[in-house]
Amino acid sequence: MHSHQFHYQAGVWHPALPENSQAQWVLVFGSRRAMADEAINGALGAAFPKGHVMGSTTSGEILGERIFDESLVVTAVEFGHSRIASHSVDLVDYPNLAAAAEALVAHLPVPGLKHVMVFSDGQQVNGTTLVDSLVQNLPADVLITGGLAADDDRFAETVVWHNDRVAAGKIVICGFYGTALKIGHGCFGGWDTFGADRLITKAKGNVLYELDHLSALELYKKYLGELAGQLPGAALRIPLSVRLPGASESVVRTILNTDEVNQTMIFAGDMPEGASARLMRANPSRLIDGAQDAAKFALQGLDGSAPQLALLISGVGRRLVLKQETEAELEAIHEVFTDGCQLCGFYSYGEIAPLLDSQVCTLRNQTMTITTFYERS
Amino acid sequence: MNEAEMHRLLKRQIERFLSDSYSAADMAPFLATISEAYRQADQERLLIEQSLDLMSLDLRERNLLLRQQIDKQALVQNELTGSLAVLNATFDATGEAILAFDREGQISKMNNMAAGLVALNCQQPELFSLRHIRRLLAQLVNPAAFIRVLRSVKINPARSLFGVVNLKSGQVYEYHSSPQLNDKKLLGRVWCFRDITELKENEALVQHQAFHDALTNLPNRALLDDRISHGIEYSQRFNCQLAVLFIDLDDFKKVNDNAGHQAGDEVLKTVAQRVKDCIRDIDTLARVGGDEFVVLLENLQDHHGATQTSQRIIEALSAAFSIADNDFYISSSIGISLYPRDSKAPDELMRMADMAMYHAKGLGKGNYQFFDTKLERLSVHRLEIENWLRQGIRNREFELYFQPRIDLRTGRIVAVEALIRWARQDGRFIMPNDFIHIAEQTGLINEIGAWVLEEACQTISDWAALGIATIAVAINVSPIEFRNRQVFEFFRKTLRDYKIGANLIEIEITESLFVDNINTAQTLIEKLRGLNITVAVDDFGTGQSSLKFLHQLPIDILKIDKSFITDLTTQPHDAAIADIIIRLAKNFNLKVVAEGVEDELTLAFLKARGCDYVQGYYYYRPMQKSDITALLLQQAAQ
Repeated sequence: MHSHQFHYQAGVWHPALPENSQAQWVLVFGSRRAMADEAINGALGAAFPKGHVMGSTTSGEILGERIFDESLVVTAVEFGHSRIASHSVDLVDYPNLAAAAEALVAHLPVPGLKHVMVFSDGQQVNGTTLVDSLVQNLPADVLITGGLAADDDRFAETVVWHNDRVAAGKIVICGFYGTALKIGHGCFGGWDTFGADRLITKAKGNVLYELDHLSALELYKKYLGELAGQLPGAALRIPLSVRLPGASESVVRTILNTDEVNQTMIFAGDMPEGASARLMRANPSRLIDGAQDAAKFALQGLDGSAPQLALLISGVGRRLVLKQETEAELEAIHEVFTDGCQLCGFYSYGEIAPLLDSQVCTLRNQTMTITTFYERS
Repeated sequence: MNEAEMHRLLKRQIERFLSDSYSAADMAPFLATISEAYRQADQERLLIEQSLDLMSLDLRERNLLLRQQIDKQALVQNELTGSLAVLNATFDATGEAILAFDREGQISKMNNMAAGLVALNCQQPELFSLRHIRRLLAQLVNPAAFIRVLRSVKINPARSLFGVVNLKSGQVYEYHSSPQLNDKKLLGRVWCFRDITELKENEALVQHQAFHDALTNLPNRALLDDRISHGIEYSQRFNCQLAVLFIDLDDFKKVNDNAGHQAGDEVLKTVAQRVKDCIRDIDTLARVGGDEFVVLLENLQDHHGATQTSQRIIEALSAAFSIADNDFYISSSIGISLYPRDSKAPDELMRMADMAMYHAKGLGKGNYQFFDTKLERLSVHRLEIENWLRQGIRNREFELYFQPRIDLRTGRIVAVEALIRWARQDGRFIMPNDFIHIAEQTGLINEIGAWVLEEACQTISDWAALGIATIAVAINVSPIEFRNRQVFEFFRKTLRDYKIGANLIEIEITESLFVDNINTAQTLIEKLRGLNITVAVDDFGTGQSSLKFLHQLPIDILKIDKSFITDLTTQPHDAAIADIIIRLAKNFNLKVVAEGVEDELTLAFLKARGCDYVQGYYYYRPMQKSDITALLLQQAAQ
């Protein structure tokens, strides 16, 4: 397996795109503006004629240990023995998300399917429903990793790329096949909970109205203080830890948007009534440690092989609180992997990964989610 | 970046450590980054401090809320403790032994009574073991039955039980046992034991009282009926006979009237004991009325057994009853019916024995009589007469005849005796002897007597209108009428209504009136005489006359019974009696009337002895009102 990375910034590719590359898998993460540039689209099609091109808009593109905005990072992967298959759907073509998810899986050959990666629109999609629907339609032993497209901290529109189609409201899925391929995964948050346990007393799907019979939005504004004016982005600093009644593990839920008219908050996943919720806050060093823990776990999945490629999908909220220190989490990951491992990825509105101690894939928020790849030569 | 935008801490640091030795332009991007990091750190700290403040506030609020809830909880706890105390007191005061067991068979709660029952200390619960069950079972009359109950609970723990256990001590406990369920889940079982010993005893007493006479503790009519039915069945199966002896105490009323009810009760108890001594254990003695007893003799081969027993009873009851230093003598009359000879029906046997008893009484008391069909016919005849009497009263079939009474000194009619005659609508005449006693037995005599008085008054009133103003009318008054409490008031009202002088009304009473109850009779007679009514004693010499009565009673006239008059001239004995009565009357300053004077010789005798008045065929037969009126008018004209 060989991979090459190309960076487009300020109208210039570095290095220049190859001609007629044999790469089968081409990952593209970038800004909305770059994505919308048809010339770039054309150039990529020409450079990777055999490639399944896929990616999404971001809240920051990862290239090695660095983060870029308003750019485009392309990672072209050429497998020696392995195969991939991909398919995408537009939400508008389906009555609901479950039907769209079913159609996605239907187009993936099942025999030999080893792993599935998914990139989805991050604004129009309830990530929880998407993952649940995919899990229902996939064989039990096939794990899913991936993420929701992002739009800096604007929460306006997210776009997904699949081959020559680049659009909002899109979901792309990629299946991996071949015995030479090893894929590992790791996912850690590192956020601290604080304050009292609060009960979700009014919610519908992923829309939260009230905690302990009080307006959730008001609570957030109180805690954000002068930052309240920067909602909804500022709310990323304070995700919610949600635990269903009787469940042993909590999941982190991040805010996608707020609705001042209805006084509600829209989250990246379901907010079931009756579940308990606690506010969370960032502790920079713990976030960085969390990223490293995710890397260590992802390494274990390769059974001692050194990863050749690592796809990092990190929650936008982490970047918002780590700020200048954000790249430290990339450095911490790099410390774990060897120099031979190329790092790519993006800051997202939601991460998809199995829980560490189980095979159950779920939507996560504000985590560092890593998928590692190794192909026997 | 200009200096104004630079973080103040960085600005100070630069001024202190670098002063002028740096190139602001070259360092600008680097310094801007540091300044931004400082600013971000400030912002993060602010956010954390703000969060801390909010959390503190939140904690205080929640703490306050919790405290309020704890206070409320304490209040509720207090109330609960109070309620529990009441419940516990109630639990102990229910009068039931209550034991609650958990699913493991251990006592989870019990009250004081229960502790006593299973010999456990309810304050210091110990393990409920087989030993306790054994101790409990050892107290039972039938432990095996209760073990079966316990097993049934083991097999079906959700069942409810109810039953009764008898203790060797004689106590009887009723128990209820219910599973303790919570949402269909078995938590344990509650047993309640209630001491119903007294209740059972009361039940038995009530049962006994329902079938026994309270005074003598003898079987009552209900139980007797049952015994007779049972006896008949037995006799049918084993082909033997059965006798019903109906015993009535003669003159028992005297005891009550003269010595009081308490003495009467004592006599009855003694009677019961004496009769019991005359019969076998298998026979039944029942009390069926005030002074009526019935003996049921079973398993008889012939009627001789009944005869012998009756004789023994009559003899036993003829002995004196010594009650409170007084000796009472009563006799008894017994009527006997036999199964299967007389009837096979219990009611019939009773009725026939009753009828035979009346027959015995009629024959002079102190004897026994078997039922026979002639008695039955007589009885039917009586019933017929009774029905006719009712019709007769309704249809006004009676008429008064009048027999004149002659004053021997003047030979003139001074009074008349009113005699009732009954001609039925079908033309048949019925004699007073045939209906008066039935009228007395049925109480119809009251209506007849009232009619007689009114008719007599009407006659006197009619005569007054004709100028006959001095002829008294004597009417016969039955002792039964004297029992009527309204009789005095009725006399007074009737005399007033007819506006006649009471001196023209004479009542004839018999000696038996005084025998029944002399005190009541005396009072009533005094009151009637107070109205100015004349009182005569009729049929004197035939009854149980006593000189004491003559002395005590407020009477005016003695009437010598005609049985002494009719054969007076041929029977010296009768003449002697008549003579004595006349002299007696003189001594007591009473007038004397002789009835049944039919010839000259008799009249001469009476005249010679100084008898005041006579009645009889020698002068006049009883006659209709029109005839006597004519006769009196004729006498008045002379």
